[in-house]
Amino acid sequence: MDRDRLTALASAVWPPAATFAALLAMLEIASGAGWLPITVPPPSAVIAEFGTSGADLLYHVWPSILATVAGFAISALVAAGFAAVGASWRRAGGPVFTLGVLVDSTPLIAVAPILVAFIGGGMTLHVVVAAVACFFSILMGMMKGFRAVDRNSDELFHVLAASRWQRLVKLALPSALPFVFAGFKIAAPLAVLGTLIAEWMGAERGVGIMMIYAMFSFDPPQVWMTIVAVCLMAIGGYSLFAVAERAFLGWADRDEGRL
Amino acid sequence: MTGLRQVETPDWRALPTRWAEAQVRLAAVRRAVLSVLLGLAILLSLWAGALRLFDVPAFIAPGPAATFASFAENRGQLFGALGHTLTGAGIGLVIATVLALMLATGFTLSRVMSRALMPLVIGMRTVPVLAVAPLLILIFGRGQGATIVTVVIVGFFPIMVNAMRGFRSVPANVDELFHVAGARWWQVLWKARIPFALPFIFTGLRTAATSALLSAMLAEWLSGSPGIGRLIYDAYSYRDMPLMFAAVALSMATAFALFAATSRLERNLTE
Amino acid sequence: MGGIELRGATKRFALPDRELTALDSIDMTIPEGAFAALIGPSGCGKSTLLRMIADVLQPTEGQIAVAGQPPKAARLSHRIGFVFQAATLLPWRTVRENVRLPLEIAGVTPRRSPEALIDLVGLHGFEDARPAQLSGGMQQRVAIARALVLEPSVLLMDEPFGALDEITRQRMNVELLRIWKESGTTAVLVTHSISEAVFMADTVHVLSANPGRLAGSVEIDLPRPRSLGQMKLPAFNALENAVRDLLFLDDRPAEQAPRRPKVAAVGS
Repeated sequence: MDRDRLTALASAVWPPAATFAALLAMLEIASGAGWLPITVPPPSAVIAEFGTSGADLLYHVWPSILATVAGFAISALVAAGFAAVGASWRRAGGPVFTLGVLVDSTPLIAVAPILVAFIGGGMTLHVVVAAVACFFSILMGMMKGFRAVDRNSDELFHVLAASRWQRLVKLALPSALPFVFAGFKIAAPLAVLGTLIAEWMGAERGVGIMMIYAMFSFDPPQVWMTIVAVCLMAIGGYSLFAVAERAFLGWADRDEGRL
Repeated sequence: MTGLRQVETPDWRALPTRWAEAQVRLAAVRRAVLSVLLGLAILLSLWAGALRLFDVPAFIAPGPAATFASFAENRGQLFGALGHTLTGAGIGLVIATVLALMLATGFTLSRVMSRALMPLVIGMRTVPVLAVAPLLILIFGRGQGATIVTVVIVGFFPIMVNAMRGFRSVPANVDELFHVAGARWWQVLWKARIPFALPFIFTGLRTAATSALLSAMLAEWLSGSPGIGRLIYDAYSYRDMPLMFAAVALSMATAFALFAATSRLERNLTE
Repeated sequence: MGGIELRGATKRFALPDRELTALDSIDMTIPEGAFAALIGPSGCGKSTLLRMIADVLQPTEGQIAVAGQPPKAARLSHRIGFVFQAATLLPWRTVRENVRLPLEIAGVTPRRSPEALIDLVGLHGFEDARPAQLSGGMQQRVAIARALVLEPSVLLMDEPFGALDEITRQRMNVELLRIWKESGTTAVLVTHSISEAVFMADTVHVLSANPGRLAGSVEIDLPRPRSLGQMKLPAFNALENAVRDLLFLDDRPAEQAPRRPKVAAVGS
């Protein structure tokens, strides 16, 4: 049975992997033949760039990761507070949702200068923008999660004369977790993006500012390298939650479409 | 299990008339306008109150009055910049929609294509696509081209993924019905897949439209193309705070209006 | 002592524009250890009645006693087992953990182990399976085991096999009778199948709709243990007809029907 699952996995993985490899190979060949503009370096040059400026990259990536994680954590805490209010006080649900939508549809780039005016640049700004960027997804996951208990289960716990605490621990939290995780998975790349945008506006250290320097100094391999690094950060964040979900929520069907 | 049961037939006289329906709709509009005005009033008083309370100097944040004055004074410049941004975002969105729908259709028709490319498209969701903006500026130069390409790349994925989900939402029974009726692939596409997918496509469009404005502003800001994103930062660097706040307020209002309009459209089409 | 008493139990719901009487002064006695069936058309309030006994809903008027106590006291002392139409298992718990849930909530150690109950409902070997791995019939067996694990005085079932196919359903009914006999609880079964009601119950209580009233009760004097073979007997058919007559009581004088526009539809 395990063997079947392995073959199924392999047959699902190899077509996209082969496509991806073919794409890289085509880029390499086209670049070697000189068909591509100078702004599109061959993949080998980007990989080589990791070798030559890897230490530099590490120096810049570290604060970006810190800002992203801090922003995500703050956002999750604030969202949990709002979602709890929205879930326990029915009339607050609508306003909380509206607040989330307002935050989500506000163009980050527009509010960022106002934030700069109030809290200044630097790490604080990066953390705050990262938190704002992922707030809505986390909030939605939590709000949907807190409403995930179906009526029958509710009646079951009523008939069983369960206490409020038992309801929370044995019913509400486990029911909410799949939605919360779906929200986290969507939010992780967004937090990375938030940090990146904040760093574009100005930073001493950060993968975003490294990217901007590379852009202004017209160093295509380095721009590509920083983009790959940012993508890896985002994939890392997503995978962290995906793996945790697989380990702890094996019983639930995993689908972000529910949000 | 089979038994007779009573079913009440509805009385047509009890159905609402057009006049009554129009009244209800009008009342809903009135309520919406009122709640928007109320929200604005609360926002403005909070803004003015916070400035007074924390004693924020005017060179950091101007009050609503100064902002409005600047807005009135510079409205030509503001709306010109906004128009520039919206043009770029609009063109990008149209291209993204066409590309996404074409590819989604191709994917539903070809299993090989779908198996080879779909996981990559879905995988792109785990990546902040907007991060490539500096690269696009590097490649496409500092004009509106880079803005449009940024919007295309950012808008493409939500439309594409939702369209695929929509095409797959056709129930198996409907597929079988068309098969039994001897329908051609284009008949299945036109009469079953597209109608079933429409609500999903509009969800994708709404997501894409709201992120298009952000992407366009970001690309302009990075590239220096003269849109509202650039205007905000120019005003900031000249320390013209009232103008900056006016531009911020205008872009936020546009974003909310865009969101409200597309959500409304989506709801109307889905219901 | 372990039976159920209803005296003038009435339930009214306040709708935006009017008040709806779902149940109108129901009098009913279900003796200890008996098996009662509630049958009636959709919207007659049979599920509402069951939920009032279980203290999910409170009667607007009248009294209900479960094992000599008001329903709330009976619920708080864990004397009520409830089986829903949907199995309502917690998907993150295994079969064993689902059956054990009421014990955890009540904080008691069982006289009868959850494993023995899982055997009783015929799921030996599936203790560590998750609900998603079980068929609908198996899930419903788990739900029944869960309802019995606290050895309740009354077992309330709201169309427990309504979602199953006819064959599985008859098999489950035979097993349910065996489990009920062994556990010795008072059982109330809500159903909309005439033959199921007659096959299972000692007494079939027939409800009529709009508002829900007790149209009558039919004593089922068929010998126990019941077997599927009995369903072919003339006595069984006669009892079915007696229930059917009560069910369609207000349909027969069609000419005198109220002037409200009504059409008869074949329901499932």
